[in-house]
Amino acid sequence: MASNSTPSPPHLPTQELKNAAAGVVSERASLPRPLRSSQSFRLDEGYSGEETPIVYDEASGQDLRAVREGVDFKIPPWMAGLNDALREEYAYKLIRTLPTSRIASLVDRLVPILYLDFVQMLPPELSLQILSYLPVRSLLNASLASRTWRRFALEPRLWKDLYEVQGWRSNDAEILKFENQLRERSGDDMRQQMEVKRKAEDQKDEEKNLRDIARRNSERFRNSAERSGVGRSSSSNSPVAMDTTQEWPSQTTSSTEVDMNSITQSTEGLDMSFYSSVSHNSGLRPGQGASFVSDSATPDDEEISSVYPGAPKLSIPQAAYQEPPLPIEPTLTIPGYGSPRVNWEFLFKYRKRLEDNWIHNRYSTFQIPHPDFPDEGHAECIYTIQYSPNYLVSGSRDRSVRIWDMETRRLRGEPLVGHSGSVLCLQFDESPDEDILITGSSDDSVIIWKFSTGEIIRTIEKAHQESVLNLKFSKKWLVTCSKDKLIKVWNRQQLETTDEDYPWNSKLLFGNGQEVRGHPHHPGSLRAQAAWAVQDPAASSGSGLRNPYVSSGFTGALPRGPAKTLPPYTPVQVLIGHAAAVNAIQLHGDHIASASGDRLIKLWNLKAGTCEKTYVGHTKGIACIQFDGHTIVSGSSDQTIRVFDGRTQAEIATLSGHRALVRTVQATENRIVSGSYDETVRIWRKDIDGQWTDSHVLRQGGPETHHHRPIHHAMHPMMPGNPQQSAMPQTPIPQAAVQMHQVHTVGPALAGAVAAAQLLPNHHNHHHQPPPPPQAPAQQQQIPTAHPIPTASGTHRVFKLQFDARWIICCSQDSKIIGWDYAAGDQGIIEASRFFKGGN
Amino acid sequence: MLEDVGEVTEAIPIPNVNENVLKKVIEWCEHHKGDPPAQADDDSDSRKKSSDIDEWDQKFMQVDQEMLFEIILAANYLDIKPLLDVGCKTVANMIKGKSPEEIRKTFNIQNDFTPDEEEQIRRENEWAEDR
Repeated sequence: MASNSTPSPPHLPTQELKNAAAGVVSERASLPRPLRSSQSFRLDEGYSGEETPIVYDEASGQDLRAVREGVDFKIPPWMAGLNDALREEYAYKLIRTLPTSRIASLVDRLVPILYLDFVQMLPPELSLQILSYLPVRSLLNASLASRTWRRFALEPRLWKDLYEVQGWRSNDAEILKFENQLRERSGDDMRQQMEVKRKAEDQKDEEKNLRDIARRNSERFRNSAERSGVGRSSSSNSPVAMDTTQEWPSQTTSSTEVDMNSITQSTEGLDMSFYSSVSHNSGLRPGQGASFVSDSATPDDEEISSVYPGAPKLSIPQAAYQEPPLPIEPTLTIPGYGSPRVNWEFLFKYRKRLEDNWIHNRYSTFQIPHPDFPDEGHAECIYTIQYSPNYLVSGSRDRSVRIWDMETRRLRGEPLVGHSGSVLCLQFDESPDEDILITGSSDDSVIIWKFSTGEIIRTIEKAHQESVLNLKFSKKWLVTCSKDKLIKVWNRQQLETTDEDYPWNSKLLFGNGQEVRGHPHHPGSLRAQAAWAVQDPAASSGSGLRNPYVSSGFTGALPRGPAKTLPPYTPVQVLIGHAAAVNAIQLHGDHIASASGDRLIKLWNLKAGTCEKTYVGHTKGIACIQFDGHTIVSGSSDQTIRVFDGRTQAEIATLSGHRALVRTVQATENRIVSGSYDETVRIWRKDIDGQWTDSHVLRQGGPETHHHRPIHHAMHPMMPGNPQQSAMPQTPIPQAAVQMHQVHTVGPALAGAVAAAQLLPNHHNHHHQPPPPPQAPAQQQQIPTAHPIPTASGTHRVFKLQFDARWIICCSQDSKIIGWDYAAGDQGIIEASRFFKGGN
Repeated sequence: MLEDVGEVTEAIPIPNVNENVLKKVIEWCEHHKGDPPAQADDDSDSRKKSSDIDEWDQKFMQVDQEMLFEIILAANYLDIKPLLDVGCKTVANMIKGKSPEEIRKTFNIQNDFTPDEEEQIRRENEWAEDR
């Protein structure tokens, strides 16, 4: 414009500051930038007279810009000297002289003073903090406000927080690995950019000059803004303040063009398209700049960020420098600084979808062996399984152990043969530094296999006197338990007497109260106590089953005396105290939780070899246990699952519903999945007020007769936690693999409804005994007796299950392994689920 | 905070925080000077992300937007975290429950989506509804 009387360089700070607000220049962000400074520098726009979005009175043909520019709008000094109230009064009077249409346009011009797009003004981290208080719905609405808002609202860190607030867990190691891969992949791109960058050395110098000018100007403007801002109320005699308020609104659209205009004048020879492409390739975008992704930035990256998209970038016309919009549908990665990042909105969206599938019982099923290769399967029933993202390992009554590829569901290699009895328990760790599989059998032995090759590393014959019922290992220890009522701890690494973990407290090694020679710092008195004699109520209450080995000289048969180096897999502790078979154990740090046929759960200190706590509650033998360090969850022949507080030993909840022995259980904070000899798998949910409810029942026998059943939709669109609705009797659908199950609630109305349901033929899924309310010990002892235990047909008793965020996989009396996949065929869930963790 | 340095005789330079804003900030600090120190600022706690604001603060924050954002900037600059949090929560509450169009109005945001894009995104965002 001819009227552009301002020299062009001063336009630079305008854009630079704007970019700072949008987060492109990170160091700016942390500086305080009073809003008024951003007002005042925009006064230049007024003088430059470029296109403003608000053009008044086109109809009249009057060029308002000319009016504004041509007339000297200096407020008369006498008026500028008036106080706020008086000036306001004058302004009002003046406005009232205008026709309504003028007032309306004035209001339009004033609106931007009152309503500020803070995302454009605040440092990005503050905008993000504001958005971090929003719930999902509001954040998504915010993402529709504008493109810049969308970039902020989809910032992965916000969604990561939202994800975690839901109580969902993520596989952080996997995410880290994935992002590292992305970085490596984009490394090539980066190198190419470096090449371009070197070529651009010349321009860079020029650019530096530009930036210096820009910085100087921005400081100057800030200062002037400061003065005018502060002084506006009292001594605003400068036109600056006035024009500021007038012209501020037009920032986004007009300023770019203005700046471009002026910059091209002053930076001749600058190749705009070059900067444009750099900014695209480096993934830099306005509104999503270095400041909050810089943690992943290398020094080189920093340089790019501060140099390239700096001042010259401003000069690119808006249409050119605007980033391509984010995709409509979230994708697994989102452009990040330097390299793409995992898009947490994507993870959130599909985790939610997955959780919805759990709630509404939508899943697909599969079986192992693959139906096309039935010969790969076990010959007899399967007692134990464990799976990882890549492999599933099963142990069977056919004495073999089989390793399956989770992807193809095909057998990996030959079955592992070594045991001479049923394989009852196993654990594996395929990671290269462990590469191990350990199995326990009814042949009383334990075999340690090399996972990758299937070769036997070691066989511990007669690990116990009877069947090895369960085993767990950590890096340091292997713990086994047996029908022989004992729990044994074995070292996995060779232990020198100088090792921290050397079992000085072992009665097995050193006997009772004997002085140990070579023991550096443990007083002998610590070992003088016989754990089982003092701490086991069952044993001391005369059950007649106290440690049979004390008198039989068992301990005497083991190495005693001077401490010496212990080779791997030496029995270092025997934990004696249970009065019946120890059916299950869980290892957590230095603690072992054990569940026994004697109806007791015990918590042991592995190193001291002592029983620390006993949990009483179950009225029959206990078959399975889980312990996470805080909570113990156990399943019993009394048909209940009980939840105990590990520390206080209080029984927190009793889950009734199964109609036979609960053989297998796994729990997360909000979900328990249990398998029973009643041939069902039950899913229990913790509702908002912390109560466990029985939300779904999967029939073990079901899926296998419907192999490739399409996604199953819940028969009742009912919401768990709505007892009125759920109390409706339901008609069983023949051969339905799954039935929605009543949410168990205590209440007469429900009981009546259930009683009616009971009369329906083939109705076999309802447990009519309302569960006793938690924390009512008197009722907790109650054994559900409303129905005779169905005579198990003996084909689908559930032996073992494992679940995570996406699957439940389960083995039973059948020779097939059944899986429920709650991704239910949803590709987004399948893609995202590798980053999920936990069965929440 | 401010009372900690009350005894210092030298002036504390506070560039870029204008007088009116500083007055507001001091008013806020005066009112909150008796507050117990923030519980160990573990992020997990703030992660609960309640945007509840006590009544006095709500009234205090009933200012025009320019002032509101100036307070936020000043609180950030002066490192007064509780005030920064209150400020940000206040803005968040201005967004909550609003439609995209209402959000635009509230903050004078230029809608630069095409109607087509807007409709597509709106449909995509429906995943957040309970199903």
